[in-house]
Amino acid sequence: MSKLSGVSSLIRLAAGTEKSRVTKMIDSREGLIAALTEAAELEHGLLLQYLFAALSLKKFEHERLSAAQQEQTRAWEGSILAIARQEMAHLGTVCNLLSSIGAAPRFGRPSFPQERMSYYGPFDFELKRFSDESLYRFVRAELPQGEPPPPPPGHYLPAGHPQKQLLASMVKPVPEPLEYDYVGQLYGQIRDGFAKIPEPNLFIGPKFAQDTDDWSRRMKLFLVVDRGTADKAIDSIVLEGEGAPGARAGSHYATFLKIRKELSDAQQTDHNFDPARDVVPNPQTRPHRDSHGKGSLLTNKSTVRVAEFFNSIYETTILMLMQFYSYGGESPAQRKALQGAIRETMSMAIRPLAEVLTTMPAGEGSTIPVGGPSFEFYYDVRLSTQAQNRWVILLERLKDAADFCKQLPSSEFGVPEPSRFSMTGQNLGWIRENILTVLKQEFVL
Amino acid sequence: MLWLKFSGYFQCRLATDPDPTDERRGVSGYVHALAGEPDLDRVIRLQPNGTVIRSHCPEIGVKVRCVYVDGGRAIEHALVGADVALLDEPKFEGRNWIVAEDGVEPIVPFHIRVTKNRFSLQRSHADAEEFPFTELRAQGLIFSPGEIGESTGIWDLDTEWDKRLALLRDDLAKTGDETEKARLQRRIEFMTGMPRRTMYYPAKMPYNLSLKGTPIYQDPDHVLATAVDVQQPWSTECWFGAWDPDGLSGFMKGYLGLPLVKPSSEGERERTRAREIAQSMEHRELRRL
Repeated sequence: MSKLSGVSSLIRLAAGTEKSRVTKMIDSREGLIAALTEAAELEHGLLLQYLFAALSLKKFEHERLSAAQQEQTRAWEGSILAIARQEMAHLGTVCNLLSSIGAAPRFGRPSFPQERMSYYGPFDFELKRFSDESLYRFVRAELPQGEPPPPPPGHYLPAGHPQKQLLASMVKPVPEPLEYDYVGQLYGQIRDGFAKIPEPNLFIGPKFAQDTDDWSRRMKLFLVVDRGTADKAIDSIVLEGEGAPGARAGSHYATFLKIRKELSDAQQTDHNFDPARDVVPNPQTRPHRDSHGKGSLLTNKSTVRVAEFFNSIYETTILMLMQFYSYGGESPAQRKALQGAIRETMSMAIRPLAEVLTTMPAGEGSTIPVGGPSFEFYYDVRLSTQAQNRWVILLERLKDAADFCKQLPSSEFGVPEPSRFSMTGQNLGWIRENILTVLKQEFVL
Repeated sequence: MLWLKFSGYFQCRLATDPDPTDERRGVSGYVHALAGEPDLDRVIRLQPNGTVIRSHCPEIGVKVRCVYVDGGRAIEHALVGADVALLDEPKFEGRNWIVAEDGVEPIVPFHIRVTKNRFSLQRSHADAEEFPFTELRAQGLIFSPGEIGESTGIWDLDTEWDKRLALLRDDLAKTGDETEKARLQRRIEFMTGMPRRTMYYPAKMPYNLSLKGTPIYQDPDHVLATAVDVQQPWSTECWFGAWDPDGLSGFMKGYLGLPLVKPSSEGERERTRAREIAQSMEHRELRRL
C-alpha cells in the first residue's frame, strides 16, 4: 500500500474470474467528496438515460402495436420509470452523504453524450431510445461485481470490461482518480472511505441539512449522521441497484435483464416489432463543448423551440433541487413548498413535455425521426447566494414558463397535443401560486 | 324546501400519480386504459353516456331515489327515478398534489343537473371557478365501511373481486380474441397483484356545496306543485366512495336541497301541500295501472 497525496492505493484481487486490478482507497474528506460528487453525477446521468429510454416507448394502437405489445410496452415503461424514481432517491441520499461531511450537494453533470472512457470510465452515457442496445448499457451500468457481463448487442463487438478512470476533484490535495468497473464498486470505495476516516472529524454537517422527508410512498431517503448510518445509506443504494448475491430479484439489474429477455422473446415472435419511437440519439438544440460523442442536432423549428423550453424547465427543477438541498435558512413551510414544487414539476411538466418531444420531428420536411428530451444545460446552473433572490428568480422562471405554455399552442409554431401545453402552463402557474402563497404568509415577499 | 336524495354508480377513468394527470393510457400509476379501450379522460360520469364498462363491473347511473317536500317524504314523487348528472366534464382536480392531496380533490366544475322527461333543473357552484378551488374540495377522506357496504350491498370488495376473477378466468379460457385476451390478462394480473388495490373501497370523499351559478329550471308539466326558487342558492351534500379500481367506478350518494318559492298565505300553503299529496297519489295510481 502506498500513500499518495492523502489517498492510498490498494491492490485487491477481485472475486471470481475478475482479473486483479488496482482500486484506490479513499482516506480523506476531499477524496470522499470527489467520490460522492462522482456518484451524484452517475446517479443523475443514469436516471436521465432511463427516463429517455422509457419515454421513447410507443403507447398507442396507431403506432402499430398489437394488443399484447401495447400491454408489454406499458409494463416496460412503468418498470423503467420506477427505477428512474429510485435513482432520484439515490441522488438525494448521495446529497445527504455529501452534507453529512460538510460538502455541498451536486446536481451538475457533463452534457450528453459521453463516450466510455471520456468521462465516466466504463459507461457510455447516452440518451438513446429503448432498444436492446440501451438495455445492454443499463444492465452493464447496474451489473453487480461477480455476475457475468451481459451478452453484447448483436451489432456490437464484444465489449469486454475496459479499465477506466475518472478524474475526481481538482481541489488540493488532489485525490487519485477513481477506478471502478461497477457502480457498486464505486460505492464500495466510498464505504471504505467512510470507514477509514476518523468518525468524529468526518461528520461535521448538521443533521438539519439533510433530506429525509417522504417525497412519496415510492422514495426512501436516509439520514446520515455517523458511520453506521452512512453504511446503511450506501447499502440501500447498492441493494436497490444490484440486489444481493443470490437474491437479485427486484433490483435494477434484474429488472433490466428481465426486460431485455422479454424484448428478445417478443422480437422473435414478431420480427417487425419495434417497441420504441424513432427517437434520434442524444438530441441537442446546439452543440456542447463538454460533450464527447455524436449528438443529433435538432433542426425542426417547432421541436427546437419546445426542446429549449423543456430544458429551461429542467434547469428550473435543478435550481429548486439545489435550493432544497442547500439548506439556506428556508423555513419548514418554505421547504415543503419547494419540495412540492420539485415533485410536481417533474411529473406535471417535465414528463408531459418529454413525451410530446418524442412525437415531434427532429428535422424539417419529414415526420421521422423524432426528437426527444435533450436534458441540456446551457450554462453552469448556479444558485444565488442570497435566499431572497433565489425565490425571485424561481418565481420569475415559473411565470415565464407558464406564460410561454399559454402562448405556444396559438403561436406560429405548430405543436402536437396543444392541450398538454395548456395544462402544463396551468400547472406551472399554479405551482408558482402555491410557492407565492407560502412566501406571502411568511412575509418573505 | 325540496330535497332530492340520489345515489348510484359513477365512473372516472383517470390516470393516477405518479403518472401525469393528462397521461392518456396510464403507465406508472395503477389505472390503465387497456388494449382496445379509449384513452383515459378523467371525466366523472354519473350516467352511462361515454362510460367504458368492463365485463362483470357495475353499470353506471345515478338517480333520484327519494323526494322530501317541506320535511315529509313524498312517496313515489314524480321525480323519483330522475337522472342526476354532472355537466361540463367535471374532474377530480388534484394534479398530483398541485391543487390538492389525494382524497380531498375538488370537483371542477361542479355543475349538477336533474332531468326526467321534460323536467330539468341544473346549477353550478359558480359560473366561473378559480384556483385553488377551496370550496370545491372534499372535506376529507373518511373511512366509512358501514355506510359504503349498506349503500352498495358490497361489504367486502376483496370477496367481490374473487368472484369477478373467477368469471374473468372463465372468459379468458374461452376467448379467441387477442385484444380481449390482453385485456383480461392485464385485469387478472392487476386484481391478483399485491398489495391489492381494494384498500380505498370503504372510504368516501364528502362534499358540501352551495350552488350559486346561473340556474336553469324547466318544469313545463308542473311536476313540482311549487316552483323552485332560483333566486336563492341551492345546496348539495354528497359523497363519492366505494372506489373499485378494476371497474374504474365508485358509488356516490347525496342530496340536493332546493328552496321553493314561498306561498304567500296560509291557505296557499295548504293548497300546495294538498297538490303535492295528490300528485304523489296520482303517480302511485298511474304506476299501479
